[in-house]
Amino acid sequence: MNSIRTYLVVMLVAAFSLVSFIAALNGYLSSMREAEKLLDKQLAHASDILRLARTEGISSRVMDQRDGEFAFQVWREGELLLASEGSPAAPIGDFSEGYRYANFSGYRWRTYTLQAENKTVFVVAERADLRHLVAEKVVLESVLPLLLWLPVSALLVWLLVGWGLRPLRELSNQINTRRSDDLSPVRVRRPPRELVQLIDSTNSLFARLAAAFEREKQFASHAAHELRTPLSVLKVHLHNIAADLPPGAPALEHANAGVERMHHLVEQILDLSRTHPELIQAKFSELDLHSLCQRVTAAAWPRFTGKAQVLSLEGSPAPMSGDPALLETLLGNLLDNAAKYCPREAEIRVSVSMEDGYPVLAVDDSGPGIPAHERQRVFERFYRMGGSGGSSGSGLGMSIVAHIVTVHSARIELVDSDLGGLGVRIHFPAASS
Amino acid sequence: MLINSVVLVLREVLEASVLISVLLAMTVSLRLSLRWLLLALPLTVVAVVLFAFSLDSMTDALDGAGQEVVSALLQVLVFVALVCVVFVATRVGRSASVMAQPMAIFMALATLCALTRECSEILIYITGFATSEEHRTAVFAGSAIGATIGLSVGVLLYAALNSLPERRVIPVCHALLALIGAGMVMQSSMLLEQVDWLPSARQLWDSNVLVNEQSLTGQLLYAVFGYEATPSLLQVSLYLGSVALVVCAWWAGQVVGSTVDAA
Repeated sequence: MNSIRTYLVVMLVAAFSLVSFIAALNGYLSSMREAEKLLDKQLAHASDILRLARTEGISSRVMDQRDGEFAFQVWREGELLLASEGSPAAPIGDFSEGYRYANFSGYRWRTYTLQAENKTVFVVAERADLRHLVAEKVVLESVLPLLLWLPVSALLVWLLVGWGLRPLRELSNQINTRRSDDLSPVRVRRPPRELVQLIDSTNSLFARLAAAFEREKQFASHAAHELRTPLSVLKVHLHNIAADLPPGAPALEHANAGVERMHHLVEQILDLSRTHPELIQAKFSELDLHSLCQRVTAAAWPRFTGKAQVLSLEGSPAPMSGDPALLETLLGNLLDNAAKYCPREAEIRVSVSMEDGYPVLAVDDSGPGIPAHERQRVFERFYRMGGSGGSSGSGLGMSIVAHIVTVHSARIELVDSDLGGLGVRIHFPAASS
Repeated sequence: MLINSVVLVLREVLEASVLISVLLAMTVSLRLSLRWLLLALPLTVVAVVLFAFSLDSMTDALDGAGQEVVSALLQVLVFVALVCVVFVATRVGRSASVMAQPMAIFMALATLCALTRECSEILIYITGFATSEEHRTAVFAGSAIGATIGLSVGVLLYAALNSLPERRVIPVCHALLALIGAGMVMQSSMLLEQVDWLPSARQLWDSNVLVNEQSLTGQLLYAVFGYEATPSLLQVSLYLGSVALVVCAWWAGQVVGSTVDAA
């Protein structure tokens, strides 16, 4: 039972049923005893009436109406003076006064013996099973409603428990439905005492998280400024030094390449920090993925011509909801990787399509590809295939892609491309969602 | 009639619900799947239907002792399954993935046999009175009350077992299974004694003064722990032997577990 409501309802109904049914059984037994006493009194009255009838000379035939359910005998000094039809010839039990049970005529009987004056003994008898049946019918009427109303009380318990758990549900809904970057305090209207502590702890946790995220965000922007400035200064100095050195000096070439790589790494680290799903405040808008790809591929074109690589764009308009800047970064990183890792004259194809109403972005190349067992690892930070430091990549491009995919609630998969290299497929949600 | 129906149905339902509650509490505590219950319930329905259809021939079999012997056999099977549950449960703590399946099979077997016997008894009783108009209401009402009380006790027992500290749940469940299992053996011995398959021996004591066998408490104690106010030496031996067997199963599970772990 994983639900508090189900657990409470089952336990409460069980406890309620147990207690009320045991009480009902006790009531039933007491009522049956009282009914038996009442019927015994009636039996004693019947013996009185029989005695009176005998004394007054009234025919006792009036007593003999309940055919087969009632019997009597009148004895005096061992002689049977009078008996109802169907009563045995032998005495029904002994002649001492009082109630007892006797068996005759195939039934069990409740008898009452009355000793009157001049040694006359009046014995009246009533069938025990019928007496019990009558009493039970009466008592059952008070027990049955309890049984029949049990489902109603269970339903009431279900509703009341649900009502009682409403603040908890409200709290859970507030936490579940809030955006991932919404760390404002939760507010429950008139929270019960049991929940106040939980709400306070949750709000305190949210406040600490918000402060931590803010610190991280500020660190990223400060780091951007602090790292970019000296790099720019370094570039200026290198430019000045270039004027004093002969053109194509190897040391200067190496220094320029190193600064460029550092510049790229800093930009990638900042992109990675900026695109973190927990920190980013994406600006979503309706856009056409195909048009966006056109812009990005056009801008990336010069990178491919240097290595005589062929870049193509295929597909048709694909409307979707997304952050244009982030999507440009995403495709830019994918193209950057393709340009870096594919050999000269390789073919790179970007295609946009709609599959079952969902936009899909595909980037295929004819490069070396990625072995299946390494495909998941390329999304790890600073992971470079084969651990080689041969390429100029920072090992952050695919991590940035993964962040942007998460922000767009999309799904990314790496497959074998029909061009012979790696195929990247990104399945975006439909525009309306 | 109402009170008779309550007692009879309560006796049967209580026996089953206590057993299932203990097995459920063990399942939850050992973090096993509830598949055994899903397996046992439909099989019980099939078994009860078969039981009902073959009731006449079963009653006439073995010189009129067929029904009692089948009931006794089912109870002994429940006991055997419970002994296996205790043995395997001790091992589950060590290698859950390996022992989960045999555990589920033994739990399902115990539940199937117990439910088949008890549901059949209730079915025979209720169908016997279904045609009697004057008793029908009392019998149905009594049966419903008895069944509800029995189920409620089972549910509350399950909650009580679950509220125990984690390390106490399994030992308490084992102790309850030992008593329930021994009670089953005791009941089966009484049934076999009724049909003269076991000799009627001299009674060892009479505890009717303390708890009358025919009282409600006596009947319920009989249902859960096989209470007998005037037991014979054979019955007492069987009861104690059954408890000892469950303890041995627990001990054997521990020893085998330690040996395997050491290897």
